[in-house]
Amino acid sequence: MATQTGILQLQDDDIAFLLTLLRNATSPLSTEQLVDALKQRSSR
Amino acid sequence: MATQAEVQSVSFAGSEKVQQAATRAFEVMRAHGMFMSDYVPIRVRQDELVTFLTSKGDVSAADVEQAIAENPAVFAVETDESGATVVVTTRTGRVPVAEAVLTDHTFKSRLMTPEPKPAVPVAPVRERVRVDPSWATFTVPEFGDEEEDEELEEAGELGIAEALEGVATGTIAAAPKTAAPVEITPEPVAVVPEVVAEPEVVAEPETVEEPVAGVAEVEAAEVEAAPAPEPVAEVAPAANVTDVSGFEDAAIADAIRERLAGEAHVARFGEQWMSEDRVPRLSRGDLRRIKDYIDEQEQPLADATLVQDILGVRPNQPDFALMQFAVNVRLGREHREFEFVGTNDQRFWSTTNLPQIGTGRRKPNDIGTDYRFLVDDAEEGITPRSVASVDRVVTFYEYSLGLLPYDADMQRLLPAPLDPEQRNAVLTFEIPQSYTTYLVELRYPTPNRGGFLLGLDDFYADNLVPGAIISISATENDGHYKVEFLSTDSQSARLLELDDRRSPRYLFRPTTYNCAVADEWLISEDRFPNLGSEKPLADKVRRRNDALLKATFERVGLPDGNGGYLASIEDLLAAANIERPFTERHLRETIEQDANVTGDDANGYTYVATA
Repeated sequence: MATQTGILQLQDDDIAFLLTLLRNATSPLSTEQLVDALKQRSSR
Repeated sequence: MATQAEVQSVSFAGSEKVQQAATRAFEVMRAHGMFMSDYVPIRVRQDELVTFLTSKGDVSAADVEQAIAENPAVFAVETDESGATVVVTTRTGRVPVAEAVLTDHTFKSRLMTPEPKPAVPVAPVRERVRVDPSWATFTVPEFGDEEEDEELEEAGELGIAEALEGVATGTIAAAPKTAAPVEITPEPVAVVPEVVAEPEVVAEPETVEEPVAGVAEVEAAEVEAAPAPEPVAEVAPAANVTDVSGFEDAAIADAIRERLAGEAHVARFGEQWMSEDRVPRLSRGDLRRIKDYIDEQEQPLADATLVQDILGVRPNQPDFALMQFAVNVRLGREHREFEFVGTNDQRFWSTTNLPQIGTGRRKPNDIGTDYRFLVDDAEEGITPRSVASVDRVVTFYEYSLGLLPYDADMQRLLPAPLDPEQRNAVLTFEIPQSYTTYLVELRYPTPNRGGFLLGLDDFYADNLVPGAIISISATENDGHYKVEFLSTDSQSARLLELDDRRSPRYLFRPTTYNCAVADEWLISEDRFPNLGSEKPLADKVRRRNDALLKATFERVGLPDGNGGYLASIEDLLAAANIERPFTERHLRETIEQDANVTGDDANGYTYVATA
């Protein structure tokens, strides 16, 4: 959820989504990959 | 051992002439098959046999044919493929018996056919262990109290006293069959589909959400049809999706770092993340072998090297990246034995036993103290790895200790520490002109000590002189850099050196060099003749700006005839940097603050001791 100050606050659903990603990954994921996943998820 | 086979006597039927003919025929056939085994059929064409026997003249053809016909136990008659009649017998004098080939148990079948799996006997039903009935029996206390009597009376009034009495005096019985069955009504369960997200989702976002909807529909349908819904193991609502489209990647990354850093089930190293339970664990033996290997090599080793040499995982194996991550995560938690000294792209690990990289002439803490002004004058907002290359002039202080300062320019070139707790990083400096690579230790600044890089002693001694100009270039690997210098024609001069074999002392030695130098930083005998045979200043002198300025004037200044010394700002700067790093700005500030110094850049500065 975007705030007026431009600081991004991720919600629990987003973290659950990221944790699921990490749980299903067979190799470590980079921060860039997680950012891309969040962006693509929110664009849907 | 040679043995003689017994010849069995064969009796023949028929008249004497017929027996004689049969005997002759049998002898001829046995001679024909003298090398055959006893039971192999001996075949001779009947016409040939008759012709042979009659040629001797003692038997007639009719006798032979009669003998064959009357002794079917000895001779058999067959017809071969060409239609000729063949007499068959064996060396034992019996008609050959057709050999029956047994195929039900052959060596081939024994080899090729495994034995059937032995049938598992039916396991006997385990006897259920039951508590001895005597332990399940309790009796009504013989001396009950009044409260208990009152309870019994109340129970009698409610009509359950008899039941209680029966329970009290007998064993615990099973529930009566007439008891109404308990109806368990399942509570309505809010089934929410599980978020299905595979790692490929990152590359193919289209597959993220579509399976989710499908799973949701299927699960909902199953729940409605089933009479007794099973409990849902995972509830992952996907209703609230944060819109991150209006934010930059850096802001999203910061938010991810902030939230995931607090998750205990997430393993992190640098900018890599993974679920903690998916990270392979290293045994104590693995850790010990890694430590021993680093100690044996006597230098920090990269995670890829450790994974290959110690854990035996090759780079082309699919789990190589996973094992690299595991090594970094696990070693990062062994603070007592291992220290991370790498960068994001080049992850070196060191142990507490490794020797220091670089010079032993001066302690690293003392060098850091000499560079304290870098901390005091630190610039704000420096972005690491923001420049591609940095050009520098190597001062005498840097040359003699084989180091480079971690000043603002180098901070823009080199990477920041991967972890806030990281104190130093090992980098590789490649010298393309000499085909050598050096391990260089970058010591990050502390609150009261400046940062610097150690380990360039050999490079300086082999290729450069004080005052040389070098260029340090970044590569794609943030832990690897290239250092180049300008090659020139061979030049010779008597240059200053520090001779510290016995008592430290400066001296000028004839030196030949092939690198470009900045003349204002070259410490030659022609320029500073008085520096020869000087001793290095004591720490308490060289660390005080005014004392160092005075000593430098006395070393390199020209006597003005009035007890003072005259020197230019360039000479003062070059000579002051023999003892310790001294920037031009600090030198000018010191000159301005020192009442003993007068003059300007155009006419030079004069130091006259007033005390």
